[in-house]
Amino acid sequence: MNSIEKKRERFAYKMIMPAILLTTFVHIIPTIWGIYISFRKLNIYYIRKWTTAPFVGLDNYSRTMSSLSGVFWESLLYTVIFVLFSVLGCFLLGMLGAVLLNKDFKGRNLIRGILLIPYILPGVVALTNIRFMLLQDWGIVNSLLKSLGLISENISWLTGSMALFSIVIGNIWIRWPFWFITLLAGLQGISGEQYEAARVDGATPWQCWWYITMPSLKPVVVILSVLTALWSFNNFNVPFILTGGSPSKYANILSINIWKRSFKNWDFGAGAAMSVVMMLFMLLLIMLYIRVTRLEDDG
Amino acid sequence: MTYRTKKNIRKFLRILGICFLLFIVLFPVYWLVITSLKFPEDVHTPNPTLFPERLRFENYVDIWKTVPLGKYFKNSLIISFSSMFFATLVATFAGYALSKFKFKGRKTIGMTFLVTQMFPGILFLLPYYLIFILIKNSTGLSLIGTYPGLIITYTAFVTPFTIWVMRGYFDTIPIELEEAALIDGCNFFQAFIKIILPAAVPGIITVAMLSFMKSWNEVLFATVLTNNETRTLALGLHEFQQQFTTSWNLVMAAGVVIAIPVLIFFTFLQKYLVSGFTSGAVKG
Repeated sequence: MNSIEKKRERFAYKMIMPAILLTTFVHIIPTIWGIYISFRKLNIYYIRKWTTAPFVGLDNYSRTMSSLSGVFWESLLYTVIFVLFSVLGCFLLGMLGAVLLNKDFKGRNLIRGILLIPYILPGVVALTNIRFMLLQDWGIVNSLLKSLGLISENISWLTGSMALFSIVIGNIWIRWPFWFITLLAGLQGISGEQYEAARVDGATPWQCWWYITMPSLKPVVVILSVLTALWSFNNFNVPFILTGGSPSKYANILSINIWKRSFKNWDFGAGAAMSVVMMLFMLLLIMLYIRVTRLEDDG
Repeated sequence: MTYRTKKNIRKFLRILGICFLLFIVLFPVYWLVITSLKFPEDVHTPNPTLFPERLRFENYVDIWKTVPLGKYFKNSLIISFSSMFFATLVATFAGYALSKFKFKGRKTIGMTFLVTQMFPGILFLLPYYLIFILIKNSTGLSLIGTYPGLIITYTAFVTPFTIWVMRGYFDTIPIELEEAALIDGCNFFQAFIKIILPAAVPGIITVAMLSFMKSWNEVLFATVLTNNETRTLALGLHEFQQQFTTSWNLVMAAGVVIAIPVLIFFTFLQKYLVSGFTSGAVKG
């Protein structure tokens, strides 16, 4: 290695060092300590001198995941439902928007800007607003449905089993514009020549869609799905704010569950154990993401 | 069916679809704004009026008195702007190194950033909190409830993602630019500051905006790492709503106030942002 290359390497290390230090302090050390805590009996008594909390083996894991306290598995199930329907909803709305705005027409830029509003609006504000709209007694949604004659009794959107439906709706509302704008960019990237050639060969619009549009959008859709799944899987704001901080068991998704376990019940060991299990699920998704992005690089 | 009617049906469906999307976006926004201008009696009723006959602009005066919104605002501005500054700085440096330099461990480091970005905040919150306690017990330095505590946290939160966006941007800048500067007698750092940075402005703006929005919005860590003095707007809004369950008009007014800085930001920087968001996201 010659001296200029060595100099370049040294410069690069200097540039990247702050980022490495930050990530180590905020992400890596806490992750390792989190795994350590999950094997300790750490509760309110030990919090001030937590390094001395006794070792309890797998007790935290068995306590949180035993069939007796089905809470964890129930919570995982609702989390998965929450994630799947969020991805589906974002896909449908985002695709609809992208297809409708793909052709140029007067006012298109304005409409595109308007459709991005949910993405720009601070999430807390958007979600507080959706909570307000869904309130049982004062909410506009119940009021409108009633005046249209679709319901006779006010629906309790934010409690009970409807809470799951509501957090899916809230999550879709704040996320779909990201799909829309990315899919639109993807659609615009497909060259018109491909469609021309297909039309000359006598392809119907449906065939064009199925054999040209869908395959070229596939990588984008897969990446968006994995990202949305990740961001929804670990979401805290949506259920926390929509349900006013105390979700019913149907909206009690994993991150809320862990937060309650740790900072409401002060059972840090159990919270850490659940975090570790959750991390393993995340790793699966992340490995999928890395594979998908690699595939795209190769192709 | 003639070609013409077919075309008309298509056009009709297109307009219908666009109206549908506009409705699901604009109606909630309208409801947010109009509620913030209503009298409380017109809000807390089973039949809220869609088009109120009277408006109450005093809501926007009252919110500063009923809750320490001004204090929250100041806290959020300090924390968000500081973490925006540091996150952008760190991400620009690291993104440049990852994009244009070869060094040992480059791939591993890049991958680590990508993976940590995806881990949920809830995973770190607890051990992170315990580390803060450990630091306090051993050095007397308290980070819980202070600005630096949150600024470090939020800066670190966004850096993995922002590094990837910056790296994507630097990838599009030809290396010849830097080489030319080096031949002209610049050192690496001068070449970076004088030549590369100006070319990367759209990426930097995107990254700055993303990190600002993250801190402006964050609730989870704020529930644990702030106290009454350092409470941020996002958490403040939630607590306000919990505390004053019959003042939704004021809650919505506060919501509008919280949204305004971000909307101003976005309107001015829109042309950079849309490309920044999409290129960063799709490239990973």
